[in-house]
Amino acid sequence: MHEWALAEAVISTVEKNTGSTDLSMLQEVTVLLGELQNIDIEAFSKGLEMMTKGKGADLELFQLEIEKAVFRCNYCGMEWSLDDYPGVGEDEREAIHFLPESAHAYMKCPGCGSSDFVIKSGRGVTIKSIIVKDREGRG
Amino acid sequence: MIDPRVSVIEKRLKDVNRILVVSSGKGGVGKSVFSSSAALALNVLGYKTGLLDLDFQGSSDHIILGEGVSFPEESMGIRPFKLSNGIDFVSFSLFTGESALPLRGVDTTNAILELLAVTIWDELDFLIVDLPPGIGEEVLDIIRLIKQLEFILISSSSLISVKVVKRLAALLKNMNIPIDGIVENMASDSSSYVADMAREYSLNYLGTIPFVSQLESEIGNWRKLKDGLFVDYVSSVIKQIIY
Repeated sequence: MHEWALAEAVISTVEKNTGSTDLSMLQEVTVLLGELQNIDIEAFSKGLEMMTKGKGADLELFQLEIEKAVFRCNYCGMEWSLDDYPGVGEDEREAIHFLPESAHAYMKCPGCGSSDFVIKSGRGVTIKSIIVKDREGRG
Repeated sequence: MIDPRVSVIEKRLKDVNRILVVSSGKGGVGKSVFSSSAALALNVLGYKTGLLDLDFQGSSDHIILGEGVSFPEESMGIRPFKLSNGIDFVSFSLFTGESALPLRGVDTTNAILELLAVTIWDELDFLIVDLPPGIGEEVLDIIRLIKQLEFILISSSSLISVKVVKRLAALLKNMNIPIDGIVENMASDSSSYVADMAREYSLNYLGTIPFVSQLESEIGNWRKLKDGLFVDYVSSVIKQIIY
């Protein structure tokens, strides 16, 4: 599962930002999972669990939020979501799962048919916030 | 918002000994044929070699080598597609085949970041990176994201090409990016523009590759390409860089 590689990137970034591999100081980490990439949450959570093993962090401090995918056409200005989209095939979904930019090969504006669109939100994995406990151990 | 991908890229490439980036600034000078041939030449010399095609809109290394590509395997990340000759290969074409891929700048940067962050490269002696023409996102992002890389510049003999490649050379020099040298491809006997440029920019002139008429008949068949004259020329260039 390539979710493991993304989970590792999240933990590595948290460690860089907090300046420590001791994660017991963490209060909460909020991770946005873009709807477009269709991350397997169970696999991603397993990756987080593996990467935090022995580092003092409770898996429950990781808040995983699904971010809705929104697209905007550069040609006609129409905005749409995945719910509005007529459908993408299984292989295409798989390609988008690996590399969300593959959407540009497989999706078109439902309004005008243009392939020139922006992924406004909900692309992939991003860290929304990292909250560290204070000296007394409070958030 | 913090992008987590940047933090693991160095780790993904930690087992790669040298990263050779083939670039030009000018299109149509043979970067992809050179890149694919360089990977073949290194493979023949017995080196563990990878080939990363970052020319998203014009990806053609898989066409040059003639390998049907498909989704790569997943195992703790994405594993490069193993070509039948043992070269580890990554390209956007693994995901989108021959579909058109219209990407704007931010999409290109995102695609590069994602590929570099999730691809688990095995131990390699050399990774060849094939860049598209220009000095846009692909050049700037790869410089930003990969610390240990070396550029090989490609130019044809034409003044038009040389003038454009000079801009890339100046950019790389200003940023203190290592340049192994410049290769004159599809060379014409009557031109000295590339050699003059090499002197002007204190670059190694890595040699001349003439127009090889039989090359087209070797495209799409790596076995023929490997035994052909073009790869012979590329091998001579590569030996200057690796020895």
